[in-house]
Amino acid sequence: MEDTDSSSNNHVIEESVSEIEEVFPGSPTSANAEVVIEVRNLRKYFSIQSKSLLFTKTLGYIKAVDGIDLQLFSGEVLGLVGESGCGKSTLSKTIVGLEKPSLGQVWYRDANIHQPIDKVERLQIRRNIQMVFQDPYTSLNPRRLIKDTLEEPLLIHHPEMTKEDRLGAVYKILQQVGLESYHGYRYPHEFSGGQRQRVGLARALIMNPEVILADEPVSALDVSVQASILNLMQDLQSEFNVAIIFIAHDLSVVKHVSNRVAVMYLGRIVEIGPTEEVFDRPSHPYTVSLISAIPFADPTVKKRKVILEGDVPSPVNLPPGCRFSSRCYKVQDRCKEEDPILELKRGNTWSACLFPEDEPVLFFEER
Amino acid sequence: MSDVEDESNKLLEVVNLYTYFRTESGIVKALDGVTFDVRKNEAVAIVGESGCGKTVTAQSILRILPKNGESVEGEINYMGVDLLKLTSKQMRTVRGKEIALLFQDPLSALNPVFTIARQMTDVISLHRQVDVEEARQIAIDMMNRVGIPEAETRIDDYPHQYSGGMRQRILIARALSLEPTLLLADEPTTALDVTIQAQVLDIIRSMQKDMGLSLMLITHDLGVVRETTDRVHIFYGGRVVESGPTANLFLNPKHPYTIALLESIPSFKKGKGKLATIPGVVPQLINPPIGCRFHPRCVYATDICKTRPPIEFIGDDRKIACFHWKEIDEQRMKNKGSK
Ligand SMILES: Nc1ncnc2c1ncn2[C@@H]1O[C@H](COP(=O)(O)OP(=O)(O)OP(=O)(O)O)[C@@H](O)[C@H]1O
Ligand SMILES: Nc1ncnc2c1ncn2[C@@H]1O[C@H](COP(=O)(O)OP(=O)(O)OP(=O)(O)O)[C@@H](O)[C@H]1O
Ligand code: SF4
Ligand code: SF4
Ligand SMILES: [Mg+2]
Ligand SMILES: [Mg+2]
Repeated sequence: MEDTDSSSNNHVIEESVSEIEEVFPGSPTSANAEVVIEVRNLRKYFSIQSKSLLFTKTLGYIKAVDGIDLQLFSGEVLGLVGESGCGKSTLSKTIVGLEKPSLGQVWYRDANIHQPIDKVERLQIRRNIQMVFQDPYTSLNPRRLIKDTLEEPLLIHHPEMTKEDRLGAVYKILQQVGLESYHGYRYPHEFSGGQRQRVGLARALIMNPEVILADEPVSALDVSVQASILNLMQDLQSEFNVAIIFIAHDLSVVKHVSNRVAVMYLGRIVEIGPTEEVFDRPSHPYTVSLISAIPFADPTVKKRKVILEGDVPSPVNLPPGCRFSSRCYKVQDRCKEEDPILELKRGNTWSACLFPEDEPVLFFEER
Repeated sequence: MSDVEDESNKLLEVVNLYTYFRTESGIVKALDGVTFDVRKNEAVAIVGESGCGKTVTAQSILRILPKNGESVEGEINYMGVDLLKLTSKQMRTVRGKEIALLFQDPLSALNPVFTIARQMTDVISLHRQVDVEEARQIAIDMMNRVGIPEAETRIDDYPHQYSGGMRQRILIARALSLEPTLLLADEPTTALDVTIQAQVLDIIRSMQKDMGLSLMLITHDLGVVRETTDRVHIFYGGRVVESGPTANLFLNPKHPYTIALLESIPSFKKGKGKLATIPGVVPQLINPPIGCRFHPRCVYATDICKTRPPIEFIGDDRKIACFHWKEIDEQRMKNKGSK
């Protein structure tokens, strides 16, 4: 698929080793769940180039996604958390096919997302994997009525539908996201932030997709509006039985909506497991630090804080060994030589650390 | 419990402040009779949802409103002086030196073409009687205190060579190098990651204690309020609807808006159940609802709510603007008791 990648500094790594059988971190949260998305050893590097009149020199690589294996199961919500720049958006854009991987693959069931075998498969992938953005405003055509925007994918994917059928589908989806039919006859700027996010959800859901990638869908909203969108997403998720990758920087939000959670640091997943396990008994020191840093509104408890030193290192010059070693409160000499891989640590939680927390970390003291 | 307010330790008192903006579609009544105070040595929060008037409050206090805005009525008493009555020249000595401001976006507050040294020492030598060398030393000391490593050399770097968290530290250092009495911080950590936010809040908090500052922290993050401040003023639609000591107020909110706001946030300890929502939308401020501005969204509203509720002092250092707070509170207590 040549047309999917827009960035000129896309970097492709030549695959030198033959494929090896991989073990995927994490396990389904329900017994009859099927794998819908499989991410295999995914890397996405952006090159940093200096251009002169004649020559383009590559100075280095931004390792935005640097070796990720992941499975998404049908009907689950997988929360993706991590600090700014850790690669959450790049990962999700590569999963939907908006970015081309430098190495590795992404599979939707039996289809390689970046190399569909024919046009039919390509359309099938496009229909089944949808994306919801932080501010749908920027992704909605300001000069088109909402109903036209919603109708457009139906025209492409369901040419057999009559005009009445299409309009019927548009009104139905508007209602399902808590809007009215007449909202279809408005332009994007006539909506509030929360309403626009409802439109964004409607646009993703009208194709009845199997997977939705939601990149910070509530981050720009006020808390009272955020609450209604989160409630709506929960309802729709069970109604449509869609699998969601939910990206947010607010851990309380992620804890509220997801069944499983993956914590990213500098292009890698450092911990992944069932939400309760990861948040109640984190094993990776980075997860511990993240949780302890959330400001907590509940006055009945006092929270322990681990204040991390320093900043996130640049994804160009990664520290040797464990990439969290420059900020880790548990760092040992070994951490600076050995790069830990994701391993099953306890229960169903996998983490990438040489000295993981074995005992539950006590965050809360009752007052 | 005392039933009278302690007046002696007030540093800043905003009384019945009305700030309006002229726009093409009409007059935006951004602040509609705002009353609150900041005391000596305390950290106080201004909280509320987008558009409720938090930033305009800070701009009004410092008199740095956009051109189409004006504080048309009210008082802003700072150490007994009404800032609205000062000449612009007098006001310049208040800004920075007495009351310092910290912005949300640390990048736009720094000039990209000058070194940090230049930007810090310019401000210091403008307000303090020191020479260039001394100003530089003050700047370096302050940078050390806010945790910037190798301040002696890094002071000669440019803003883009610093990360977001480091830039915010620079701004804190610059603001505090003038030894102000009051620091107004408008969403100082909203643009930062949580681990960096924790560092920056930690610095603000310890500097506030060390230097005996008063802090007025503007934020929409109730977690930040709870962990950083002693007292809180809840804003809604250009008015203060409830005030009180942070822990007490969060534990036992009484205004219907505050109650709903606290219930709408997903909590780390709560289960996955439905979140409480507030029906309707935030009021538009050109034709705001009459009376209590929350009444179109309030489940307890009655006819009387179409008049303006007075601010009542209700003990425990708490104040509220709601006609029905007592009945609502009694009802809530009963429900709690029966659970
Ligand atoms: N098109 C691009 N060209 C070059 N570098 C890029 C590009 N897109 C992303 N990056 C870099 O890749 C890294 C990961 O970025 P990404 O946007 O995926 O992070 P993120 O986790 O989504 O962060 P945020 O929470 O801020 O949205 C960053 O260092 C970013 O600067
Ligand atoms: N220059 C201006 N002209 C017209 N209206 C303005 C102007 N500045 C602010 N307002 C209006 O005044 C009201 C209060 O704005 P303010 O910036 O104080 O909100 P805020 O509480 O700081 O919100 P946020 O959390 O989004 O920063 C808003 O309705 C806003 O649209
Ligand atoms: S491997 Fe070492 S440095 Fe890395 S997270 Fe574990 S303890 Fe910390
Ligand atoms: S005054 Fe009336 S409308 Fe306003 S908050 Fe109180 S009960 Fe609700
Ligand atoms: Mg992103
Ligand atoms: Mg503001």
